[in-house]
Amino acid sequence: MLALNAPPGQGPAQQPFVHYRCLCCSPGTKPKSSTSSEPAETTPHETTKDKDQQQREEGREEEEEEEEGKKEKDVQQDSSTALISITKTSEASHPTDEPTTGGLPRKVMEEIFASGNTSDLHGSQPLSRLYFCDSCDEIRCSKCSQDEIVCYFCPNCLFDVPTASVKLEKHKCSRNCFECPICQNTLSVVSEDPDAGQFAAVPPAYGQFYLLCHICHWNSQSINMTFEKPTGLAAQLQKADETSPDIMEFGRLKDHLEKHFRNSAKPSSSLHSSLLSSIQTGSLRYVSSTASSTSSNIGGLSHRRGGGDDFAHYTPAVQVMDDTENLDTLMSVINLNQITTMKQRLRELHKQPYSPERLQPKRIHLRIKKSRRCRTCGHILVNPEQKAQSIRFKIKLIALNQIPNITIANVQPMIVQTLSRVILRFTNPRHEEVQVSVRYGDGAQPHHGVHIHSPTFSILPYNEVWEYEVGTIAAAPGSVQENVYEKTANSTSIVLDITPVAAGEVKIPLFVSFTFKTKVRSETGSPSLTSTQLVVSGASAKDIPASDADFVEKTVAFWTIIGFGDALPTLAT
Amino acid sequence: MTLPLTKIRDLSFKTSIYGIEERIVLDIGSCYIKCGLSGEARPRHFISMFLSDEALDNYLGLNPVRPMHFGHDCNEFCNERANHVFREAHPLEYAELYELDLMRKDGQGHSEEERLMILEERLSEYLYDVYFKHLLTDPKQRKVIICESPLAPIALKQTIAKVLFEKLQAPSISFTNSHLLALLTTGTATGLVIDCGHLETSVLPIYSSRPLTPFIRTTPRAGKFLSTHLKQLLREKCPVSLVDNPTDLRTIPESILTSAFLETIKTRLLFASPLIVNARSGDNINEDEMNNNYRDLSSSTEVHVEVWLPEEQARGILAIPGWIRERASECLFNGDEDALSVTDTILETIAKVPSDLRRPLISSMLLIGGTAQLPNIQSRLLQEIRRSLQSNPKWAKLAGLVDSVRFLDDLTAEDKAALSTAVGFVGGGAAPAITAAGASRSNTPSLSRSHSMLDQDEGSGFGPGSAIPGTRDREKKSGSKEKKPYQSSGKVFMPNCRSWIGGSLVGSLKVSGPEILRENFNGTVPDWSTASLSATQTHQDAATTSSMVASALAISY
Repeated sequence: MLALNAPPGQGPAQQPFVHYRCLCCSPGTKPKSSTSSEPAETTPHETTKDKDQQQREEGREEEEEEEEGKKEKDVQQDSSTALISITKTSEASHPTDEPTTGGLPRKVMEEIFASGNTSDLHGSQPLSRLYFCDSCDEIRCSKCSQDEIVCYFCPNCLFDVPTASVKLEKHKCSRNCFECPICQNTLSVVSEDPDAGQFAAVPPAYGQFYLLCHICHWNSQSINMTFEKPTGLAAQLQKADETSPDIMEFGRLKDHLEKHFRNSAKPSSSLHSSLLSSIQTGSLRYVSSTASSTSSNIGGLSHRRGGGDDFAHYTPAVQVMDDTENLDTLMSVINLNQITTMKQRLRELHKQPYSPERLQPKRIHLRIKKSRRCRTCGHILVNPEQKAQSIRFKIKLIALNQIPNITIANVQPMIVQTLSRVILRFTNPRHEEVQVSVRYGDGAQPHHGVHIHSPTFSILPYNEVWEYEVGTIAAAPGSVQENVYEKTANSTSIVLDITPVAAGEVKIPLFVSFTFKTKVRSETGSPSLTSTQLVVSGASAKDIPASDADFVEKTVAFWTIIGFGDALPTLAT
Repeated sequence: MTLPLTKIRDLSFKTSIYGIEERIVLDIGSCYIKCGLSGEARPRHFISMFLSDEALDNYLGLNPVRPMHFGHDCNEFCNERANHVFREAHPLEYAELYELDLMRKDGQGHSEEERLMILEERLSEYLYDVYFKHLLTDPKQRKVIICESPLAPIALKQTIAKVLFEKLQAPSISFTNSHLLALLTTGTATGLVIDCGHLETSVLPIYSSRPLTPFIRTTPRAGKFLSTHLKQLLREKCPVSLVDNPTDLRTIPESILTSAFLETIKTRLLFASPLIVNARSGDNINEDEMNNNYRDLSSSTEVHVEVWLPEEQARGILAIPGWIRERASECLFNGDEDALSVTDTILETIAKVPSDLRRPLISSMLLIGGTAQLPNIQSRLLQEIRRSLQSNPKWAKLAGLVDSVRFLDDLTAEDKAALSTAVGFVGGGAAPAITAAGASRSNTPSLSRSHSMLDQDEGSGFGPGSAIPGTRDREKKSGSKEKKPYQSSGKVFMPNCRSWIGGSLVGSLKVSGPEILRENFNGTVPDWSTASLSATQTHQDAATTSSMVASALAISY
């Protein structure tokens, strides 16, 4: 109702959202957009340093705490005087950064960081639309995956349609499924009840069954369409369709053209050449040649000089009367509803009538089940069961089950130049504990002041038992010092202080990386790890292969963009 | 003997059950994408860039339902957003898929790279839908034929190729001239094809299946121009009254006049008036006077359209008078120096081609494109051309052609007579009266206003008794000159489908324009304006530079 009352010109108020960005859609990965990657290169090097250390030295948490403090200071400085700090650090970081970037992981991490450091929503999607390839350890979206058709089915009767008959039936249901020509809802076959008496006058040979739309009460009797038996209606309709003039004419044209092509299969055939190679001929020369050949034609020379320049005489299969009904309808129309909409018309492409009385019911269009494949490694991400009725998946590598799910737990109204506190809840869908670190992207436009209270924290593993627990579970002992806002079963909440600098929608880019230990899959695990280029996975895998042979530590990094709704102008104004 | 043979051939076309030999035929317009499989007589789907009717009704506040996001009902804390950047930026406004000035900054300040990126994004979304929602086929298996306008920006063609090859992995693409394809659907190879689309109207002469591309002429007077004109008319001439208080009139709020709303009015209520009102009797007739003339002459009904007035928070009624419905399309026929009228564009093309081609071309015109769907526009155009030839001094040298003016899909008078006597012909009811009457009227050299007043009285009755014989005689004469006059099949195919159908024909015969294979794709596409195809493949750098030069040349034509 909110949006209904909003003036259409402005659109509804911006709602909060959490979007994840797939690496393939990162603006930084494209060579052209230098603007977004420029500021990213000049990130404060202290932050990157302590992040890197934090990955390698898991145990030394006190030191991390210290560095966190340092980082927080840095961020604060960043937010107050963004420009100065960036330029300062760029000068300072460049020479010092060069020698230390020896390890691949950090470099990769930085690349990922640089690639998406912008608040531009382009290419970002809610988590529910994304996949997670477990051999590449990367988020995959619909653009970096390849679709394949698994099976065809009718959405109305849920019957599987064998691939062999799909093409023949023109991707329409060949059973008794029809859609209403007026409102596109499903039609049902209804019989005239002879006992009702009112329709007794209808002669029996005329047909007793008709189609009825229960939504808009369209009735196929209104276009004189009735059936003698309630089955096989699609075939009857299709038969009528095949004798329609455009199909007959098309067949004739095809024969005509085929004859022409066969007769003039020489390379000089002009239609061939104009279709195939007209592009090659220099346009000016070719005009003059045409002109000369025509003049020779007119001069009485043989018409077929150029090997069938023109077509043989064509006799049409049908002759259709000029259709002025549209005009008649239009001149005397009173109500807009007396004229078909484009949507209705475009379902009847051969006629496109203006008056609704001339619309015909259509068979229902089939749908498909698709499987999705990762384009990089070719592994299947999602594969549904082949039966139309089944809604289960054989393979289901969706991002919701693999990646910490960020939700906005609490948000205060945003006011420009006023600090407001936001609580983000990270939920862990994995069965392993994950270490998460969050970093604010300084490439955001406008650059709102953001302070993350606990940029690194851990989330306990997901456990089915917790589904049935009510209320929050106290933080597990030993992780209290993480100083998070709240720690419940498999979710951890952190606090963000946001100071919007400009009115309008507040969009915050957050760089999230999480580390988890997973069982290595004896043979396939290690090559796939080394083959990944964009994901930080190598460090610990290489460093400690012997100590924890079964477990390997993986880090996945990605960008999220979180919107907190509109920021209001300052109260004073 | 021949019958079984053709039947076998038909079967061979139809029995390709698993067949992948059918190609995908795409006609990508700026407002609608037509898609389907080759060998079929009609496109499978017509995909609109406009808002759906429901969305439009929601937008206008006419549907008292909860606001819908794309596909699902949502509450206030819904995380789901429009899945598309572009829709997000303009959630309630549609935009053309592309415009002709693609390589320039547009009004919203998008640079050319941004525009190409948006185009690519939208195209990949639409084409993905084409394959997986509408045609339900695997893009990797089927070759693609694309109907292209000869003046389509090369960047657009490149983007289409990029999306098809890189995102959808189509095996091969061939761009084929849409005008030529449309002409093939008439069974002839010579004609003047007038493509009256959304962004522009282009007139291309084709002789003996050779497109004479250097003689192509274009004018912006097309669908978009009509929409703009309609918008102005609605704003100025159509007051909105409140449902509750009909006497309370106010001007229509700008926010209602979106492209989707205008498209609705345009496609559902407009038509071309069968009567010409003479505008050129005096040069300084102002627009208001003209509009008054139109109003006085109109016999069409007024239509009331319900709209939502956001300021008043009430339903209003927009009354669209008959004369606007009749005469909005007048802007296509009234030209000026900046934008020639459609009529003048056609005649200019005719005047440009070698003189021996003029008569064959003007006697076989073909009107295609979306705007050509406007009821009665073709017979009106015919009248306008005849009138211009007779009365406009600019075209005095072409005046001799006036007898030959004919559209390829107009039936001759004999055909009409034969058909209307025959039982069970296909098509409309008591149809011929209007067009015949209209055609006869155009024979009167110059229509003064009083004349047309009379005509209008006559025309409102649409009596079939007006002077048809004259026209018929003339057509007979012109017909008897050739041995075998072209026999038309009438308007079997819709003008907005014709080039697609041509593509389907050509695809089913395994002929098409030059194919680009995915393996050879290097970002460039062949174009008539660029150097030869082989050069494009071998000398990539040279080809790209020459393509730029050639496209620049193409503009200067």
